[in-house]
Amino acid sequence: MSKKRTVLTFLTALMAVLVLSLLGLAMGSVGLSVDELLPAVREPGSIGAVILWKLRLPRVLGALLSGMALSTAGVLLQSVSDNELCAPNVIGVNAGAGLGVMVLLCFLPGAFYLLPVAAFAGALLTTILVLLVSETASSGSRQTSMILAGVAVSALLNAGISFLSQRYPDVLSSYVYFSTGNFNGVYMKDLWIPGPLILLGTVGAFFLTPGLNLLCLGEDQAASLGIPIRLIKNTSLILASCLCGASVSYAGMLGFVGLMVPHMSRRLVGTDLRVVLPFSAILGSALVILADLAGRVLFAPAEIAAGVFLSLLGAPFFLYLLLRRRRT
Amino acid sequence: MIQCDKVYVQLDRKEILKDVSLEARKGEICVIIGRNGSGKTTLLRAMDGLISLREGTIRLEDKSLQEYSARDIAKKAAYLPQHPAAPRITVEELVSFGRAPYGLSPGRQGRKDRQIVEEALADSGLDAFRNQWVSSLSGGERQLAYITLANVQQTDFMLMDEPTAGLDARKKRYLFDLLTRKKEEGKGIILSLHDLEDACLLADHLVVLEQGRKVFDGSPEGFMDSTVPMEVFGKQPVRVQDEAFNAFTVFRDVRN
Repeated sequence: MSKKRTVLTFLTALMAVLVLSLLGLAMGSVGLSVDELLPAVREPGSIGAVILWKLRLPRVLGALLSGMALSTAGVLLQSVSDNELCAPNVIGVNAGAGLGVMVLLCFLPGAFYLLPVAAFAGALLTTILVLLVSETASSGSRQTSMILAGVAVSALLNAGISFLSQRYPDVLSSYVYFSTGNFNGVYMKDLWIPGPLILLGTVGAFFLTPGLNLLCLGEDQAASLGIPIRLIKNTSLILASCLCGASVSYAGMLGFVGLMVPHMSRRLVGTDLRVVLPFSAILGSALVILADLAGRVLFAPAEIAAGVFLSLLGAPFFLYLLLRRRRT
Repeated sequence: MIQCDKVYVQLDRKEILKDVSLEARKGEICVIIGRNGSGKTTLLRAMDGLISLREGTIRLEDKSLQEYSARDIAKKAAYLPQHPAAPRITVEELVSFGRAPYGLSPGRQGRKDRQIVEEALADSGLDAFRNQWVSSLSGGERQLAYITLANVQQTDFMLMDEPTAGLDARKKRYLFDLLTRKKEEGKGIILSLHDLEDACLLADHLVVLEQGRKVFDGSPEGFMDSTVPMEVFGKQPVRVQDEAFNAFTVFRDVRN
Protein backbone atom coordinates (compact mmCIF):
# COMPACT_ATOMS: atom_id res chain seq x y z
CA MET A 1 0.00 0.00 0.00
CA SER A 2 1.67 3.24 -1.12
CA LYS A 3 1.81 6.18 1.26
CA LYS A 4 0.10 8.42 -1.29
CA ARG A 5 -2.85 6.05 -1.64
CA THR A 6 -3.18 5.73 2.13
CA VAL A 7 -3.22 9.52 2.57
CA LEU A 8 -5.82 9.82 -0.20
CA THR A 9 -8.01 7.16 1.42
CA PHE A 10 -7.76 8.95 4.79
CA LEU A 11 -8.71 12.28 3.22
CA THR A 12 -11.69 10.70 1.44
CA ALA A 13 -12.94 9.16 4.70
CA LEU A 14 -12.53 12.48 6.53
CA MET A 15 -14.46 14.23 3.77
CA ALA A 16 -17.20 11.60 4.07
CA VAL A 17 -17.48 12.28 7.82
CA LEU A 18 -17.67 16.02 7.19
CA VAL A 19 -20.29 15.77 4.43
CA LEU A 20 -22.39 13.23 6.34
CA SER A 21 -22.21 15.37 9.49
CA LEU A 22 -23.45 18.41 7.57
CA LEU A 23 -26.24 16.33 6.05
CA GLY A 24 -27.03 15.01 9.52
CA LEU A 25 -27.36 18.59 10.76
CA ALA A 26 -29.48 19.69 7.83
CA MET A 27 -31.74 16.70 7.24
CA GLY A 28 -34.50 15.21 9.35
CA SER A 29 -38.24 15.41 9.75
CA VAL A 30 -37.79 19.20 9.45
CA GLY A 31 -35.36 20.01 6.66
CA LEU A 32 -32.89 22.86 7.06
CA SER A 33 -31.33 24.19 3.88
CA VAL A 34 -27.88 25.80 3.94
CA ASP A 35 -29.66 29.18 3.78
CA GLU A 36 -31.55 28.27 6.95
CA LEU A 37 -28.61 26.71 8.75
CA LEU A 38 -26.51 29.88 8.74
CA PRO A 39 -29.18 32.14 10.31
CA ALA A 40 -29.81 29.38 12.87
CA VAL A 41 -26.17 29.61 13.84
CA ARG A 42 -26.42 33.38 14.22
CA GLU A 43 -29.81 33.60 15.99
CA PRO A 44 -29.71 31.54 19.16
CA GLY A 45 -33.42 31.86 19.98
CA SER A 46 -34.85 30.77 16.61
CA ILE A 47 -36.56 27.42 16.01
CA GLY A 48 -33.81 26.54 13.57
CA ALA A 49 -31.22 27.17 16.26
CA VAL A 50 -33.06 24.97 18.75
CA ILE A 51 -33.30 22.15 16.23
CA LEU A 52 -29.65 22.56 15.25
CA TRP A 53 -28.00 22.96 18.66
CA LYS A 54 -30.29 21.05 20.97
CA LEU A 55 -31.37 18.15 18.79
CA ARG A 56 -29.26 17.58 15.70
CA LEU A 57 -25.75 18.51 16.82
CA PRO A 58 -25.78 16.18 19.88
CA ARG A 59 -27.23 13.47 17.70
CA VAL A 60 -24.56 13.77 14.99
CA LEU A 61 -21.83 14.14 17.61
CA GLY A 62 -23.17 11.10 19.47
CA ALA A 63 -23.17 9.01 16.27
CA LEU A 64 -19.66 10.19 15.39
CA LEU A 65 -18.33 9.29 18.84
CA SER A 66 -20.15 5.92 18.93
CA GLY A 67 -18.76 4.94 15.54
CA MET A 68 -15.29 5.92 16.69
CA ALA A 69 -15.61 4.03 19.99
CA LEU A 70 -17.05 0.79 18.64
CA SER A 71 -14.68 0.59 15.67
CA THR A 72 -11.65 1.20 17.85
CA ALA A 73 -12.91 -1.39 20.34
CA GLY A 74 -13.37 -3.82 17.44
CA VAL A 75 -9.77 -3.34 16.27
CA LEU A 76 -8.50 -3.85 19.83
CA LEU A 77 -10.58 -6.98 20.50
CA GLN A 78 -9.75 -8.58 17.15
CA SER A 79 -6.03 -7.96 17.65
CA VAL A 80 -5.92 -9.18 21.24
CA SER A 81 -7.95 -12.32 20.53
CA ASP A 82 -6.34 -12.91 17.10
CA ASN A 83 -9.88 -13.57 15.93
CA GLU A 84 -11.45 -11.72 13.01
CA LEU A 85 -14.97 -12.58 14.17
CA CYS A 86 -14.45 -10.95 17.54
CA ALA A 87 -16.42 -7.73 18.00
CA PRO A 88 -18.10 -5.97 20.94
CA ASN A 89 -21.61 -7.19 20.10
CA VAL A 90 -20.54 -10.69 18.99
CA ILE A 91 -18.82 -11.59 22.25
CA GLY A 92 -21.41 -9.87 24.41
CA VAL A 93 -19.44 -6.79 25.51
CA ASN A 94 -22.24 -4.46 24.41
CA ALA A 95 -24.80 -6.62 26.20
CA GLY A 96 -22.64 -6.50 29.36
CA ALA A 97 -22.54 -2.72 29.15
CA GLY A 98 -26.28 -2.71 28.51
CA LEU A 99 -26.97 -4.79 31.59
CA GLY A 100 -24.75 -2.45 33.63
CA VAL A 101 -26.87 0.48 32.43
CA MET A 102 -30.13 -1.35 33.18
CA VAL A 103 -29.04 -2.35 36.68
CA LEU A 104 -28.12 1.24 37.46
CA LEU A 105 -31.35 2.64 36.04
CA CYS A 106 -33.45 0.13 37.98
CA PHE A 107 -31.71 0.29 41.35
CA LEU A 108 -30.11 3.76 41.39
CA PRO A 109 -32.40 5.70 39.09
CA GLY A 110 -31.12 9.13 40.11
CA ALA A 111 -27.44 8.47 39.46
CA PHE A 112 -27.33 9.34 35.74
CA TYR A 113 -23.75 10.53 36.06
CA LEU A 114 -22.75 6.96 36.91
CA LEU A 115 -24.14 5.54 33.65
CA PRO A 116 -20.75 5.35 31.85
CA VAL A 117 -19.17 3.75 34.94
CA ALA A 118 -21.91 1.10 35.15
CA ALA A 119 -21.66 0.42 31.41
CA PHE A 120 -17.86 0.17 31.64
CA ALA A 121 -18.05 -2.23 34.58
CA GLY A 122 -20.58 -4.42 32.75
CA ALA A 123 -18.48 -4.42 29.57
CA LEU A 124 -15.23 -5.21 31.39
CA LEU A 125 -16.70 -8.04 33.46
CA THR A 126 -18.23 -9.58 30.33
CA THR A 127 -14.93 -9.36 28.41
CA ILE A 128 -13.05 -11.04 31.25
CA LEU A 129 -15.72 -13.72 31.62
CA VAL A 130 -15.75 -14.56 27.88
CA LEU A 131 -11.95 -14.68 27.72
CA LEU A 132 -11.71 -16.91 30.79
CA VAL A 133 -14.34 -19.30 29.47
CA SER A 134 -12.78 -19.47 26.00
CA GLU A 135 -9.26 -20.01 27.36
CA THR A 136 -10.30 -22.81 29.69
CA ALA A 137 -12.61 -24.49 27.15
CA SER A 138 -11.11 -27.90 26.61
CA SER A 139 -12.28 -28.79 23.12
CA GLY A 140 -12.15 -27.00 19.76
CA SER A 141 -10.00 -24.06 18.79
CA ARG A 142 -9.71 -21.09 21.13
CA GLN A 143 -11.07 -18.82 18.40
CA THR A 144 -14.25 -20.83 17.99
CA SER A 145 -14.74 -21.27 21.71
CA MET A 146 -14.50 -17.50 22.19
CA ILE A 147 -17.37 -16.93 19.75
CA LEU A 148 -19.44 -19.69 21.35
CA ALA A 149 -18.74 -18.38 24.84
CA GLY A 150 -19.67 -14.89 23.61
CA VAL A 151 -22.96 -16.10 22.13
CA ALA A 152 -23.89 -17.89 25.37
CA VAL A 153 -22.89 -15.00 27.65
CA SER A 154 -24.60 -12.53 25.32
CA ALA A 155 -27.87 -14.51 25.41
CA LEU A 156 -27.73 -14.61 29.20
CA LEU A 157 -27.08 -10.89 29.51
CA ASN A 158 -29.80 -10.02 26.98
CA ALA A 159 -32.21 -12.14 29.00
CA GLY A 160 -31.19 -10.12 32.06
CA ILE A 161 -31.84 -6.86 30.21
CA SER A 162 -35.25 -8.10 28.99
CA PHE A 163 -36.16 -9.23 32.47
CA LEU A 164 -35.27 -5.90 34.04
CA SER A 165 -37.02 -3.93 31.29
CA GLN A 166 -40.22 -5.93 31.90
CA ARG A 167 -39.89 -5.88 35.69
CA TYR A 168 -39.21 -2.12 35.69
CA PRO A 169 -41.07 -0.94 32.56
CA ASP A 170 -40.66 2.77 33.38
CA VAL A 171 -36.86 2.99 33.39
CA LEU A 172 -36.40 2.86 29.63
CA SER A 173 -38.47 4.99 27.28
CA SER A 174 -38.06 2.34 24.62
CA TYR A 175 -36.49 -1.05 25.19
CA VAL A 176 -36.44 -1.70 21.42
CA TYR A 177 -34.46 1.48 20.76
CA PHE A 178 -32.01 0.67 23.56
CA SER A 179 -31.45 -2.93 22.49
CA THR A 180 -30.83 -2.07 18.83
CA GLY A 181 -29.02 1.23 19.38
CA ASN A 182 -30.34 4.65 18.54
CA PHE A 183 -29.51 8.37 18.80
CA ASN A 184 -33.00 9.71 19.19
CA GLY A 185 -33.15 11.71 22.39
CA VAL A 186 -29.37 12.08 22.82
CA TYR A 187 -28.63 15.49 24.30
CA MET A 188 -25.39 17.34 24.90
CA LYS A 189 -25.53 16.53 28.63
CA ASP A 190 -25.45 12.81 27.76
CA LEU A 191 -22.10 13.27 26.03
CA TRP A 192 -20.16 15.24 28.63
CA ILE A 193 -18.61 12.15 30.24
CA PRO A 194 -18.68 9.56 27.40
CA GLY A 195 -17.34 12.05 24.80
CA PRO A 196 -13.96 12.76 26.46
CA LEU A 197 -13.72 9.08 27.47
CA ILE A 198 -14.08 8.00 23.85
CA LEU A 199 -11.60 10.57 22.56
CA LEU A 200 -9.02 9.70 25.22
CA GLY A 201 -9.63 5.97 24.77
CA THR A 202 -9.10 6.18 21.02
CA VAL A 203 -5.88 8.18 21.41
CA GLY A 204 -4.71 5.73 24.09
CA ALA A 205 -5.49 2.77 21.83
CA PHE A 206 -3.34 4.30 19.10
CA PHE A 207 -0.30 4.14 21.38
CA LEU A 208 -0.83 0.39 21.78
CA THR A 209 -0.77 -0.32 18.05
CA PRO A 210 2.99 -0.90 17.60
CA GLY A 211 2.84 -3.64 20.23
CA LEU A 212 -0.48 -4.99 18.96
CA ASN A 213 1.04 -5.30 15.49
CA LEU A 214 3.44 -7.91 16.85
CA LEU A 215 0.72 -9.98 18.52
CA CYS A 216 -0.14 -11.53 15.14
CA LEU A 217 3.13 -13.49 15.47
CA GLY A 218 1.80 -15.38 18.49
CA GLU A 219 2.44 -14.69 22.16
CA ASP A 220 5.83 -16.42 22.45
CA GLN A 221 7.32 -14.74 19.40
CA ALA A 222 5.94 -11.32 20.35
CA ALA A 223 7.21 -11.69 23.94
CA SER A 224 10.62 -12.76 22.67
CA LEU A 225 10.77 -9.50 20.71
CA GLY A 226 10.49 -7.58 23.98
CA ILE A 227 6.75 -6.83 23.94
CA PRO A 228 5.07 -6.71 27.37
CA ILE A 229 2.25 -8.99 26.23
CA ARG A 230 0.16 -9.05 29.42
CA LEU A 231 0.32 -5.28 29.81
CA ILE A 232 -0.70 -4.65 26.20
CA LYS A 233 -3.50 -7.23 26.26
CA ASN A 234 -4.94 -6.09 29.57
CA THR A 235 -4.74 -2.41 28.65
CA SER A 236 -6.42 -3.16 25.33
CA LEU A 237 -9.26 -5.03 27.02
CA ILE A 238 -9.78 -2.25 29.56
CA LEU A 239 -9.78 0.39 26.81
CA ALA A 240 -12.16 -1.64 24.60
CA SER A 241 -14.56 -2.08 27.53
CA CYS A 242 -14.32 1.60 28.38
CA LEU A 243 -15.06 2.60 24.78
CA CYS A 244 -18.02 0.21 24.45
CA GLY A 245 -19.37 1.23 27.86
CA ALA A 246 -19.16 4.92 26.96
CA SER A 247 -21.04 4.36 23.71
CA VAL A 248 -23.74 2.08 25.18
CA SER A 249 -24.39 4.51 28.03
CA TYR A 250 -26.11 6.97 25.66
CA ALA A 251 -26.67 5.14 22.35
CA GLY A 252 -27.76 1.68 23.48
CA MET A 253 -26.39 -1.55 22.09
CA LEU A 254 -25.38 -0.70 18.52
CA GLY A 255 -24.24 -3.85 16.81
CA PHE A 256 -21.76 -4.89 14.14
CA VAL A 257 -19.83 -1.60 13.82
CA GLY A 258 -16.85 -3.14 15.63
CA LEU A 259 -17.03 -6.17 13.37
CA MET A 260 -17.44 -4.57 9.94
CA VAL A 261 -15.31 -1.47 10.15
CA PRO A 262 -11.92 -3.06 11.05
CA HIS A 263 -12.36 -5.47 8.12
CA MET A 264 -13.26 -2.69 5.68
CA SER A 265 -10.29 -0.68 6.95
CA ARG A 266 -7.82 -3.52 6.45
CA ARG A 267 -9.10 -3.86 2.89
CA LEU A 268 -8.61 -0.16 2.26
CA VAL A 269 -5.39 0.73 4.10
CA GLY A 270 -3.52 -2.54 4.69
CA THR A 271 -2.78 -4.49 7.85
CA ASP A 272 -0.55 -2.12 9.86
CA LEU A 273 -2.62 -1.34 12.96
CA ARG A 274 -0.97 2.06 13.32
CA VAL A 275 -2.89 2.97 10.17
CA VAL A 276 -5.89 0.64 10.56
CA LEU A 277 -6.92 1.92 14.00
CA PRO A 278 -7.18 5.66 13.24
CA PHE A 279 -8.74 4.89 9.87
CA SER A 280 -11.31 2.63 11.52
CA ALA A 281 -12.19 5.42 13.96
CA ILE A 282 -12.92 7.74 11.03
CA LEU A 283 -14.72 5.14 8.90
CA GLY A 284 -16.78 3.95 11.88
CA SER A 285 -17.92 7.51 12.53
CA ALA A 286 -18.98 7.90 8.91
CA LEU A 287 -20.88 4.60 8.95
CA VAL A 288 -22.83 5.33 12.13
CA ILE A 289 -23.68 8.90 11.09
CA LEU A 290 -24.91 7.45 7.79
CA ALA A 291 -27.02 4.81 9.55
CA ASP A 292 -28.57 7.44 11.81
CA LEU A 293 -29.24 9.72 8.85
CA ALA A 294 -30.85 6.90 6.87
CA GLY A 295 -33.07 6.09 9.86
CA ARG A 296 -34.27 9.67 10.04
CA VAL A 297 -34.75 10.36 6.34
CA LEU A 298 -35.79 7.19 4.52
CA PHE A 299 -39.16 6.73 6.19
CA ALA A 300 -39.74 10.28 7.50
CA PRO A 301 -41.64 11.36 9.50
CA ALA A 302 -41.35 7.88 11.05
CA GLU A 303 -37.92 7.06 12.42
CA ILE A 304 -35.97 3.80 12.27
CA ALA A 305 -33.24 3.18 14.86
CA ALA A 306 -29.67 3.45 13.50
CA GLY A 307 -28.93 0.02 14.95
CA VAL A 308 -31.49 -1.57 12.63
CA PHE A 309 -29.59 -0.43 9.55
CA LEU A 310 -26.29 -1.51 11.05
CA SER A 311 -27.70 -4.98 11.78
CA LEU A 312 -29.06 -5.20 8.23
CA LEU A 313 -25.53 -4.62 6.96
CA GLY A 314 -23.67 -6.41 9.74
CA ALA A 315 -25.48 -9.74 9.97
CA PRO A 316 -24.82 -10.73 6.32
CA PHE A 317 -21.25 -9.47 6.74
CA PHE A 318 -20.78 -11.77 9.73
CA LEU A 319 -22.11 -14.71 7.69
CA TYR A 320 -19.75 -13.81 4.84
CA LEU A 321 -16.80 -13.87 7.25
CA LEU A 322 -17.89 -17.24 8.63
CA LEU A 323 -18.12 -18.72 5.13
CA ARG A 324 -14.76 -17.21 4.14
CA ARG A 325 -13.11 -18.78 7.21
CA ARG A 326 -14.58 -22.13 6.29
CA ARG A 327 -13.15 -21.86 2.77
CA THR A 328 -9.66 -20.94 4.02
CA MET B 1 27.00 -17.39 28.41
CA ILE B 2 23.53 -18.74 29.27
CA GLN B 3 23.74 -20.81 32.42
CA CYS B 4 20.90 -22.98 33.74
CA ASP B 5 21.33 -24.02 37.34
CA LYS B 6 19.12 -26.78 38.77
CA VAL B 7 16.09 -25.66 36.76
CA TYR B 8 12.66 -27.08 37.58
CA VAL B 9 9.63 -26.07 35.49
CA GLN B 10 6.06 -27.06 36.18
CA LEU B 11 3.25 -26.46 33.66
CA ASP B 12 -0.40 -27.34 34.33
CA ARG B 13 0.68 -29.14 37.53
CA LYS B 14 3.00 -31.39 35.53
CA GLU B 15 6.74 -31.34 36.14
CA ILE B 16 8.27 -30.74 32.71
CA LEU B 17 11.91 -30.01 33.62
CA LYS B 18 13.66 -31.57 36.60
CA ASP B 19 17.02 -30.46 37.90
CA VAL B 20 18.42 -29.35 34.54
CA SER B 21 21.78 -27.59 34.60
CA LEU B 22 23.75 -26.60 31.54
CA GLU B 23 25.98 -23.90 30.11
CA ALA B 24 25.74 -22.59 26.56
CA ARG B 25 28.65 -20.40 25.57
CA LYS B 26 29.21 -17.80 22.90
CA GLY B 27 31.05 -19.08 19.87
CA GLU B 28 29.56 -22.57 20.08
CA ILE B 29 26.52 -24.43 18.83
CA CYS B 30 24.67 -26.23 21.60
CA VAL B 31 22.14 -28.75 20.34
CA ILE B 32 19.41 -30.13 22.59
CA ILE B 33 17.99 -33.47 21.55
CA GLY B 34 15.44 -35.80 23.07
CA ARG B 35 12.32 -37.70 22.29
CA ASN B 36 8.90 -36.01 21.94
CA GLY B 37 7.80 -34.61 25.29
CA SER B 38 11.29 -34.69 26.79
CA GLY B 39 11.20 -30.96 27.61
CA LYS B 40 13.27 -29.43 24.77
CA THR B 41 10.75 -26.68 23.93
CA THR B 42 10.16 -25.86 27.60
CA LEU B 43 13.90 -25.56 28.21
CA LEU B 44 14.34 -23.19 25.25
CA ARG B 45 11.35 -21.07 26.33
CA ALA B 46 12.71 -20.93 29.87
CA MET B 47 16.12 -19.86 28.55
CA ASP B 48 14.43 -16.91 26.77
CA GLY B 49 12.50 -15.91 29.89
CA LEU B 50 9.14 -16.86 28.39
CA ILE B 51 8.09 -19.08 31.30
CA SER B 52 8.81 -18.86 34.97
CA LEU B 53 10.79 -21.45 36.88
CA ARG B 54 9.53 -23.38 39.86
CA GLU B 55 13.07 -23.69 41.17
CA GLY B 56 16.56 -22.86 40.03
CA THR B 57 18.02 -19.93 38.12
CA ILE B 58 18.92 -19.07 34.56
CA ARG B 59 21.66 -16.51 34.09
CA LEU B 60 22.23 -14.58 30.89
CA GLU B 61 25.79 -13.22 30.88
CA ASP B 62 26.33 -11.83 34.37
CA LYS B 63 22.73 -11.45 35.56
CA SER B 64 19.73 -13.63 36.31
CA LEU B 65 17.02 -13.46 33.60
CA GLN B 66 14.62 -11.95 36.13
CA GLU B 67 16.86 -8.90 36.43
CA TYR B 68 16.41 -8.07 32.73
CA SER B 69 13.45 -6.32 31.10
CA ALA B 70 11.74 -8.21 28.26
CA ARG B 71 13.24 -5.77 25.78
CA ASP B 72 16.75 -6.19 27.15
CA ILE B 73 16.45 -9.97 26.82
CA ALA B 74 15.22 -9.45 23.24
CA LYS B 75 18.40 -7.52 22.49
CA LYS B 76 20.53 -10.37 23.77
CA ALA B 77 18.65 -13.51 22.72
CA ALA B 78 16.43 -14.21 19.70
CA TYR B 79 13.87 -17.01 19.87
CA LEU B 80 12.34 -19.01 17.05
CA PRO B 81 9.27 -21.04 18.09
CA GLN B 82 8.61 -24.54 16.81
CA HIS B 83 5.39 -23.63 15.01
CA PRO B 84 5.59 -20.01 13.88
CA ALA B 85 2.31 -18.23 13.11
CA ALA B 86 1.19 -17.47 9.55
CA PRO B 87 -0.17 -13.92 9.81
CA ARG B 88 -1.51 -11.83 6.94
CA ILE B 89 1.46 -9.50 6.78
CA THR B 90 4.18 -9.31 4.15
CA VAL B 91 7.52 -11.12 4.45
CA GLU B 92 9.27 -7.76 4.57
CA GLU B 93 7.06 -6.59 7.47
CA LEU B 94 7.68 -9.86 9.30
CA VAL B 95 11.44 -9.67 8.94
CA SER B 96 11.51 -6.01 9.96
CA PHE B 97 9.74 -6.98 13.23
CA GLY B 98 13.13 -8.40 14.18
CA ARG B 99 14.27 -4.82 14.79
CA ALA B 100 11.38 -4.24 17.24
CA PRO B 101 13.56 -4.51 20.36
CA TYR B 102 15.52 -1.49 19.10
CA GLY B 103 12.40 0.61 18.34
CA LEU B 104 8.88 -0.74 18.16
CA SER B 105 7.61 0.69 14.92
CA PRO B 106 9.01 -0.78 11.71
CA GLY B 107 7.85 2.32 9.81
CA ARG B 108 9.91 4.51 12.08
CA GLN B 109 13.06 2.43 11.88
CA GLY B 110 16.23 4.20 10.93
CA ARG B 111 18.48 3.74 7.95
CA LYS B 112 20.67 1.25 9.79
CA ASP B 113 17.65 -0.94 10.62
CA ARG B 114 16.44 -0.82 7.01
CA GLN B 115 19.90 -1.79 5.80
CA ILE B 116 20.07 -4.78 8.17
CA VAL B 117 16.64 -5.97 6.98
CA GLU B 118 17.58 -5.52 3.30
CA GLU B 119 20.85 -7.43 3.72
CA ALA B 120 19.13 -10.29 5.55
CA LEU B 121 16.39 -10.52 2.90
CA ALA B 122 19.00 -10.68 0.13
CA ASP B 123 21.18 -13.15 2.05
CA SER B 124 18.33 -15.59 2.71
CA GLY B 125 16.98 -15.42 -0.84
CA LEU B 126 13.68 -14.03 0.46
CA ASP B 127 14.06 -10.86 -1.60
CA ALA B 128 11.76 -12.25 -4.27
CA PHE B 129 9.06 -13.00 -1.69
CA ARG B 130 9.24 -9.71 0.19
CA ASN B 131 5.75 -8.53 -0.80
CA GLN B 132 4.03 -11.89 -0.37
CA TRP B 133 1.76 -12.58 2.61
CA VAL B 134 3.43 -14.82 5.18
CA SER B 135 0.16 -16.76 5.27
CA SER B 136 0.60 -17.69 1.60
CA LEU B 137 4.13 -19.12 1.99
CA SER B 138 4.94 -22.82 2.14
CA GLY B 139 5.98 -24.25 5.52
CA GLY B 140 9.68 -24.15 4.62
CA GLU B 141 9.56 -20.61 3.24
CA ARG B 142 7.74 -19.44 6.35
CA GLN B 143 10.33 -21.10 8.56
CA LEU B 144 13.07 -19.36 6.58
CA ALA B 145 11.29 -16.01 6.99
CA TYR B 146 11.25 -16.48 10.78
CA ILE B 147 14.90 -17.56 10.78
CA THR B 148 15.66 -14.31 8.93
CA LEU B 149 13.64 -12.39 11.54
CA ALA B 150 15.79 -13.93 14.28
CA ASN B 151 18.89 -13.07 12.25
CA VAL B 152 18.03 -9.35 11.96
CA GLN B 153 17.49 -9.20 15.71
CA GLN B 154 21.31 -9.28 15.90
CA THR B 155 21.59 -10.84 19.32
CA ASP B 156 24.46 -12.57 21.11
CA PHE B 157 22.39 -15.75 21.40
CA MET B 158 19.93 -17.46 19.06
CA LEU B 159 17.48 -19.97 20.54
CA MET B 160 15.76 -22.08 17.90
CA ASP B 161 13.15 -24.76 18.44
CA GLU B 162 13.30 -27.39 15.67
CA PRO B 163 14.38 -24.84 13.03
CA THR B 164 14.86 -27.51 10.34
CA ALA B 165 11.18 -28.54 10.43
CA GLY B 166 9.75 -28.27 6.92
CA LEU B 167 13.00 -27.10 5.32
CA ASP B 168 14.11 -28.71 2.08
CA ALA B 169 17.79 -29.69 1.61
CA ARG B 170 18.74 -26.32 0.10
CA LYS B 171 17.12 -24.26 2.86
CA LYS B 172 18.60 -26.55 5.50
CA ARG B 173 22.05 -26.00 3.98
CA TYR B 174 21.43 -22.22 4.17
CA LEU B 175 20.39 -22.54 7.82
CA PHE B 176 23.46 -24.61 8.76
CA ASP B 177 25.77 -22.18 6.91
CA LEU B 178 24.08 -19.25 8.67
CA LEU B 179 24.46 -20.88 12.08
CA THR B 180 28.11 -21.78 11.43
CA ARG B 181 28.76 -18.21 10.30
CA LYS B 182 27.07 -16.82 13.41
CA LYS B 183 29.15 -19.13 15.58
CA GLU B 184 32.33 -17.90 13.90
CA GLU B 185 31.20 -14.33 14.58
CA GLY B 186 31.16 -15.29 18.26
CA LYS B 187 27.41 -15.77 18.73
CA GLY B 188 26.00 -18.52 20.89
CA ILE B 189 23.52 -20.84 19.15
CA ILE B 190 21.17 -23.10 21.11
CA LEU B 191 18.77 -25.22 19.14
CA SER B 192 16.65 -28.29 19.50
CA LEU B 193 16.71 -30.91 16.75
CA HIS B 194 15.05 -34.28 16.33
CA ASP B 195 17.49 -35.63 13.74
CA LEU B 196 20.52 -37.26 15.43
CA GLU B 197 22.73 -37.09 12.29
CA ASP B 198 22.05 -33.33 11.92
CA ALA B 199 22.65 -32.83 15.63
CA CYS B 200 26.05 -34.59 15.58
CA LEU B 201 27.04 -32.80 12.38
CA LEU B 202 26.25 -29.34 13.71
CA ALA B 203 26.86 -29.46 17.47
CA ASP B 204 29.93 -28.46 19.40
CA HIS B 205 28.05 -29.29 22.55
CA LEU B 206 25.23 -31.81 22.80
CA VAL B 207 22.62 -32.06 25.54
CA VAL B 208 20.18 -34.97 25.75
CA LEU B 209 16.92 -34.67 27.67
CA GLU B 210 14.81 -37.63 28.70
CA GLN B 211 11.53 -37.14 30.56
CA GLY B 212 12.56 -33.67 31.67
CA ARG B 213 15.99 -34.71 33.00
CA LYS B 214 19.39 -34.15 31.45
CA VAL B 215 20.93 -37.53 30.69
CA PHE B 216 23.92 -36.42 28.62
CA ASP B 217 25.99 -33.24 28.33
CA GLY B 218 29.15 -33.33 26.21
CA SER B 219 30.63 -33.49 22.74
CA PRO B 220 28.99 -35.30 19.79
CA GLU B 221 31.92 -37.74 19.83
CA GLY B 222 31.31 -38.47 23.49
CA PHE B 223 27.61 -38.98 22.72
CA MET B 224 28.37 -41.45 19.94
CA ASP B 225 30.79 -43.37 22.15
CA SER B 226 28.27 -43.57 24.98
CA THR B 227 25.31 -45.86 25.53
CA VAL B 228 22.86 -42.90 25.41
CA PRO B 229 21.90 -43.24 21.71
CA MET B 230 20.91 -46.82 22.38
CA GLU B 231 19.23 -46.26 25.75
CA VAL B 232 17.27 -43.14 24.86
CA PHE B 233 16.65 -43.42 21.13
CA GLY B 234 17.16 -47.13 20.48
CA LYS B 235 19.73 -46.27 17.83
CA GLN B 236 23.30 -47.33 17.20
CA PRO B 237 25.82 -44.93 15.63
CA VAL B 238 27.59 -46.34 12.58
CA ARG B 239 30.52 -44.62 10.89
CA VAL B 240 30.32 -44.80 7.11
CA GLN B 241 32.13 -43.36 4.11
CA ASP B 242 30.51 -41.90 1.01
CA GLU B 243 31.85 -42.27 -2.54
CA ALA B 244 34.14 -39.29 -2.01
CA PHE B 245 35.61 -41.04 1.09
CA ASN B 246 34.05 -38.46 3.46
CA ALA B 247 33.50 -40.14 6.79
CA PHE B 248 30.27 -39.41 8.66
CA THR B 249 27.98 -41.03 11.16
CA VAL B 250 24.52 -42.43 10.64
CA PHE B 251 22.27 -43.82 13.35
CA ARG B 252 20.80 -47.22 12.72
CA ASP B 253 17.54 -48.18 14.37
CA VAL B 254 18.12 -51.36 16.33
CA ARG B 255 14.67 -51.67 17.93
CA ASN B 256 12.25 -54.23 16.60
